[in-house]
Amino acid sequence: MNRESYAIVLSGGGAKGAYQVGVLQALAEMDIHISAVSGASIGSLNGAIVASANDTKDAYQRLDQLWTTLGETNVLEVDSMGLIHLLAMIGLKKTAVGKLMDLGSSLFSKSPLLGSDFVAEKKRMLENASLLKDSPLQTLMEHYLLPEALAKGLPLYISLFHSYGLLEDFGMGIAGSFRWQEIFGVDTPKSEFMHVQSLPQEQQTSALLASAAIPLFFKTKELEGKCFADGGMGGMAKSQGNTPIQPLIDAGYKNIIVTHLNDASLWSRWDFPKDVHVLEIRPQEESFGGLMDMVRFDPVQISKLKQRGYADTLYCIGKALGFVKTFQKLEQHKRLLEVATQASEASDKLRDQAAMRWKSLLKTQG
Amino acid sequence: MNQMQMMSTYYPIVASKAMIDLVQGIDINRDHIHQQRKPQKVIDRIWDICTGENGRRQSEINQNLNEGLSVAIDLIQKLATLQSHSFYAISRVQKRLAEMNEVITIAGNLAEDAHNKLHQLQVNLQACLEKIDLRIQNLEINKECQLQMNTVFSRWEAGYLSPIPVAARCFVALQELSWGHCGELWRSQNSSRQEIWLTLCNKSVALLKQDMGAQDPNERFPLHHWITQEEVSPVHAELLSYLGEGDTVETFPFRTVVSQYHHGEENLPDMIPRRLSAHRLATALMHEFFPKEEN
Repeated sequence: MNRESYAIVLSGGGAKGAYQVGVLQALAEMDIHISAVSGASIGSLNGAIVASANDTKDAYQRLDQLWTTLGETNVLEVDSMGLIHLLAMIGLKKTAVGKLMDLGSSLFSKSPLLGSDFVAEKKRMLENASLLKDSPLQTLMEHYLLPEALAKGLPLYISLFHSYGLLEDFGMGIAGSFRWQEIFGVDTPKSEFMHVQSLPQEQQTSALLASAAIPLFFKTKELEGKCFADGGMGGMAKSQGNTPIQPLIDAGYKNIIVTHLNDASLWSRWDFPKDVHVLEIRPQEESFGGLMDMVRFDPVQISKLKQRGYADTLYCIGKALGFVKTFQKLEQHKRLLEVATQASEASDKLRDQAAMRWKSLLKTQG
Repeated sequence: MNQMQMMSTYYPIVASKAMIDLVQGIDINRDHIHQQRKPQKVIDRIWDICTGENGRRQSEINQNLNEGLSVAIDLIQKLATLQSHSFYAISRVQKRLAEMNEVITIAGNLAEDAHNKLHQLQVNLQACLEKIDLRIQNLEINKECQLQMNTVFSRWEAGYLSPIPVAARCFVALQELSWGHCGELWRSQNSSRQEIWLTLCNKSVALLKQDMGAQDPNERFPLHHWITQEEVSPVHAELLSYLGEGDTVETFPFRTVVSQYHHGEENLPDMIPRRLSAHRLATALMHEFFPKEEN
């Protein structure tokens, strides 16, 4: 079967992940086969569904069902105990200004090197504190994600951010959002990439939830002795963690579709090897909205995002592939012309010989 | 290597990645430009000065533009090459059409020539067939004529005409022959009619000579020896009169005398010789039954 086959990168963006349902719908309509998936944050959860599906159409249908449920159920359940922990944690500090200074010093002094007992203690205390419970999300994932199907499915890579503690992570998230790193020439540490199917099956769901664990909102997860948070936080200057194309390139995929979930992403296609064909799906008209839209799981917003994802994919991918196909046809027709030319040379000779014979015959007959 | 192959070797089509980058570059730039065009408040400007975000965005736009232009120029060059390729192909088709026209014209002339020759052959064959047909017809008529002559003269030779005078025997025989196939052959444009005439005449002379007991075809006998006989039965006399009915001395003098004067020589027309040889009598009767001037 000579179908178009692409690996796909599903960026992170919280509730804006509904956009990727529309992307999958359009790809299924265009009969584009997906060969591997890489995701960050909500993209890794969506990616797990895509990777465990039978084909692109099945992936779309499952994702659509999942996101319909997400719109109808309350996945953002406030964690009261987590809130108390957070307040207690804040109370440990003298003033809010002091906290921010502490945060700033942690960031600029590259916090992993601190290693003090205080920091270690603080990290331990706040390790599992979050505003929201992750149990509704976990239940949904357990309902929709079949571990056996994932094990046999497409290669799935996710980005994970090595957590340095809630406040540091949150601070780095804020720093990344405000691009302080551009002012001071520093960046958040890079995210790590994991091949999900290579993990023990019991750790796979944790790894996926860790990839989507937005600091402060969701708990970090421990994997192989390390705590991990939302993969989208790593290498924020160039969306290294949030648009995890690198594991696909490292695995040898050359045709890759990249979906973005934020306006005018500064992720650059020119930062990657020239032999990699990248097809980006970017918003074409409306804005994706601000930070708060990342947690707006309402049905209207979800439906709107699905439609936008569908329309943008048809436009971006359809236009690029259509252009390439036109030239491929041109090339094909050129080759046909060459073959026809070669074939006609032989017939030209025969015709000329016949013409010579007929001419001499006519001359002979006067 | 012809010109077309040479062009293909030197100018392969632009790689699909470059084309994807070109098309996508436009969409990416639209995304960035959309962001740039958003109204900027004072705080946004200060923010931009601090972060340099717009600079990075502009740099991204510039790179997309630069790469896009580079690919576009490449594409234009390739398209121009392909265009030239197409023109060359069209010119070759045109040339080939002209050559085909010439060949078709030659073939047409040849076909017309062949058609004319075939038509001529058909006409010739038709003429040949008609000749063969005529010849076959003549052969058949000759054969029928010969058979009739044999039948009539053998009956005479066998003596079946003995009851009537000698000249009347010749008259009866020639009368019968002129009505049958011999007469038909004589009236046709058959090439052998002259031979038939001579054969009839000679055979008549021979039998007349034999019946008269003459030594020589030119041996003359008195007229009444030829036209009368001692005992002519009324039946035979009536038969002769019937056969000679309509004949007059003015039109067929010999036939009239032979058929109607077998009783005697009274009132014989003056133009009839009173002494005749077998040759003279046979020739005269032949001229009256098979007149040459008719044809």
